[in-house]
Amino acid sequence: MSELETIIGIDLGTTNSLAATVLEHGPEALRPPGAEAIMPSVLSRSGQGWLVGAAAREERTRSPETTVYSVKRLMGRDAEYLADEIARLHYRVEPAMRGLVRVRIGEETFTPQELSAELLREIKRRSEEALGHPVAKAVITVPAYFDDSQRQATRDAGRIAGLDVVRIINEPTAAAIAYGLDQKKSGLVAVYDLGGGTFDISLLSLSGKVFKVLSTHGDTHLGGDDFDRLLAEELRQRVLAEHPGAELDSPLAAALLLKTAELLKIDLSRALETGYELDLPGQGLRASGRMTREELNELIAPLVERTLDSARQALKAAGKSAEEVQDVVMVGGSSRVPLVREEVERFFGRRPNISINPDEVVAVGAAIQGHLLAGGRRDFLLLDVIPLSLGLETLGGTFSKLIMGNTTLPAQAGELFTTHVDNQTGVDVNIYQGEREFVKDCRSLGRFRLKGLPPMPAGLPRINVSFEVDANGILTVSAREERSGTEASIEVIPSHGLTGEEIDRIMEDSYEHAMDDLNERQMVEFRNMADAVFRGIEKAWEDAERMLSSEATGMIRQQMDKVRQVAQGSDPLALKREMDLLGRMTQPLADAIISKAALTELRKFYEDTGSGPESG
Amino acid sequence: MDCMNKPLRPSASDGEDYFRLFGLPRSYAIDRASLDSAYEELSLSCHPDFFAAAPAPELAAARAKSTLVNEAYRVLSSDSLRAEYLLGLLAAGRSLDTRALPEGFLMEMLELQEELDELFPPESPPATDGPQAGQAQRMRGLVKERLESLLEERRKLFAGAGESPDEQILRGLQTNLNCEKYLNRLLERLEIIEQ
Amino acid sequence: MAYSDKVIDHYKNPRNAGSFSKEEENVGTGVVGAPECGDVMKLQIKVENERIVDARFKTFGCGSAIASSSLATEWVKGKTLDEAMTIQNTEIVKELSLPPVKIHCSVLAEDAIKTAIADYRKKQDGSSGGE
Repeated sequence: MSELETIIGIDLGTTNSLAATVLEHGPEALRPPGAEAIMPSVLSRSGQGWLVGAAAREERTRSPETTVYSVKRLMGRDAEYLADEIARLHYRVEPAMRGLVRVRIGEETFTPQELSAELLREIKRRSEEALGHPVAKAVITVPAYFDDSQRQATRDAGRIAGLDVVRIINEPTAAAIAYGLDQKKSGLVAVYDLGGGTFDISLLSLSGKVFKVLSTHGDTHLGGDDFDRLLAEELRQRVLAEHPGAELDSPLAAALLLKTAELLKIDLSRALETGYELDLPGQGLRASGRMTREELNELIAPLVERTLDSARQALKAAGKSAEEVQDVVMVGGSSRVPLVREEVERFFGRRPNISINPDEVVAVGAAIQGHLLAGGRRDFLLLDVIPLSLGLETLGGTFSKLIMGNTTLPAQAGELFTTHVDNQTGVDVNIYQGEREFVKDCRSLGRFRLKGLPPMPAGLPRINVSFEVDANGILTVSAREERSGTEASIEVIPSHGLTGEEIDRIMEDSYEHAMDDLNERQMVEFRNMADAVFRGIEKAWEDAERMLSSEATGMIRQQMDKVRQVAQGSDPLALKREMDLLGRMTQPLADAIISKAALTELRKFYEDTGSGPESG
Repeated sequence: MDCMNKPLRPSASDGEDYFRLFGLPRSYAIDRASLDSAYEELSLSCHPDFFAAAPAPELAAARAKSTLVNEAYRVLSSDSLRAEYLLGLLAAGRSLDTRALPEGFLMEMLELQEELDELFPPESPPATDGPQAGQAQRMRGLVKERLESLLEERRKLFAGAGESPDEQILRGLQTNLNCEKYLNRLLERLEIIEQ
Repeated sequence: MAYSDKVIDHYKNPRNAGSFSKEEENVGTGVVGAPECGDVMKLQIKVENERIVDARFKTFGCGSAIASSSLATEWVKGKTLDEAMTIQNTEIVKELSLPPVKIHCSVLAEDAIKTAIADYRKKQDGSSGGE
């Protein structure tokens, strides 16, 4: 069998992201050497580039206005929908064309797709580092309850990041694959997935080989972030009660409150009571207090109850009762909150399964699906469903469903259309997605127009419009007038999101920027490396003076100055050249006498930059 | 114009019907375990995910087959849809009175709906407790009973239908299916009220 | 699909909603249903000298069914019974720009008019009132 193409699985989370792949011995989360598998989904603008991940997360309390988090909540949504969300974020979000929003950082603005693409680009880079070869394709997971525009936005982000997104799969489904295959489970399984920003519940029937999604429900704006916010608000009230003059509404203070709340939540998942301390340096204010798990539970109970409402809906749609569920799998970081576990256990009347790593299981499931799509295995199959009904706008703004939610994919539905006016040559149809009665409560996916009908009396044309949703969840619409045999041309005009041209432009821009970004990143790396090499040389300087001629040590000093000088610039290749030269000068010294520390640092440098001093 | 309202379904090719597709006898009574395992087997052989790397025509064929298999399973695994589908097969082109209902049935439905209007005026809060909730529960019980007896009648009619049933049986089945839709509509409304 | 303001208006503020007593001598009642979706529609006419002087409807169904029956009651008012018999569902479709999925709602309205007229005539011809 020929070498399979690598298709990585990516869990692009609200708070954390990670990638996994299937290796010879099985699926595994990808860890770049010396780094964590999990990367915080945080970006911080730094000059013309981005800090991504853990480094960016540190910037949240230092530079809240240029640090972007929870981008996932903005994907595929318009400003009106996001009004509450935007009010709570510490960075600026502005309405933009065609139902988009843009994040403003100083003079620049970015779409959520571009920002997500930065996260994906970093994930891609880390994966390549871990695997040692380039990665071009990925399966990306999304909350099961993401609608079509949110999925499309995710696909677009992948494209901008230079990834071919071969499949979007649902997070709880991915978790079920990983869990089901690992434990060889069969029967009715519920996956309860409470992440940072989204909640999903899916019911699946597992047989030995087939994973069939029966129903899914959720809330794309409910997650652990909301727990943090409630806690932060509680803290704010407490501090204000104690220090009425405190200024707690600045982005910095708000970010500090939120960070304290996050830590508090984590502590209270282990302890029944804990203390907190809040430093507001600018105001010379220090507040502290204690909080019990009981108090936390009281705050978040209504949110937990909302997740159980979703669970009820999912059970109803699948025609099942809570007692019939044989396994409850808890996924997502927020499923660690004790109240969540207790309530889920009470709801299903059984202990939820928490044996799998809730942080990694989604990415692992996506990787397994990627392996299947690459042709790596035929021994299991995921039968997924369309999460929300698809249909058309009809009279008076009512929504008429054509493909019902929870229909197994791939699926198809057809409808016969006709004209209302004599000699009408075109018909407009508005496509919506949702479960409500009126289109105003559903999502507009776009509009299509049947053009080029032959003139006929009203009511005579029989226009067969077919909706197809493939296994990828992508909708295509085709039409044919049956009497004349004319294939009506269809233009799908997305009402939200980016157009193809916009994506192309962003990709061009980002290609140019990618060069800048790469340079910048290399400069940072080489500078750090130079510092390390200098430290090594200084440590061994006494030996060097004893062993080498003053001429030789003088040249080394000179070259060190040269390196320092070039390190101020922005040309990584020039810096590397000077570093290599310094390496050659110190080579005999290194080999013979320089202390182990310097030697190690030097070796490390040569390994990392991929070239020994000889080749430079 | 009525034909305009019929949803188009992916149709099985000549001589092939949904029952045969799953290797099942053409009957209303169905063995769920056989249906489920046949569905799995077919899905494992034709799902487009196994053809992701295959040439475009092969992928398209897999997608079409898989779509058909999914639709066939959806129809056969639902009592109402299976009955409707089988009735169409049994009628074999003979036209059926799609509005057939028992004498007085529509009036009864109208009266029940009007009764609900009086008990639960539109925009009134959901009836989760109190005497009204009891009323809704009582009506729901009645409707459910009616549906049960409809299903029982349907089983008998199909059992006695044979390969090529006469007009009277076909009419009986069509009437039976029509009644179910009105009752389901009432049930839906009651469920909304009770929520 | 573009809808006239009139259509949306019919749907949101239905005209002539309500009932007459069906026992009245000069009232004709038509009750029809659409098995496609379980919609039930009642349309009543009040007749004087072969002319429809008033009409009422009650529809349990979707917006299109409500608008169709509301429009039907407006149209029959003032018409003679013979004139009202000529109302076609296609005219309702056209007036309301009903999409194909909802054409059966207009059929329902046409049937309701015809059934109500038949009921009225039966009352006049025959023995006594009733259905």
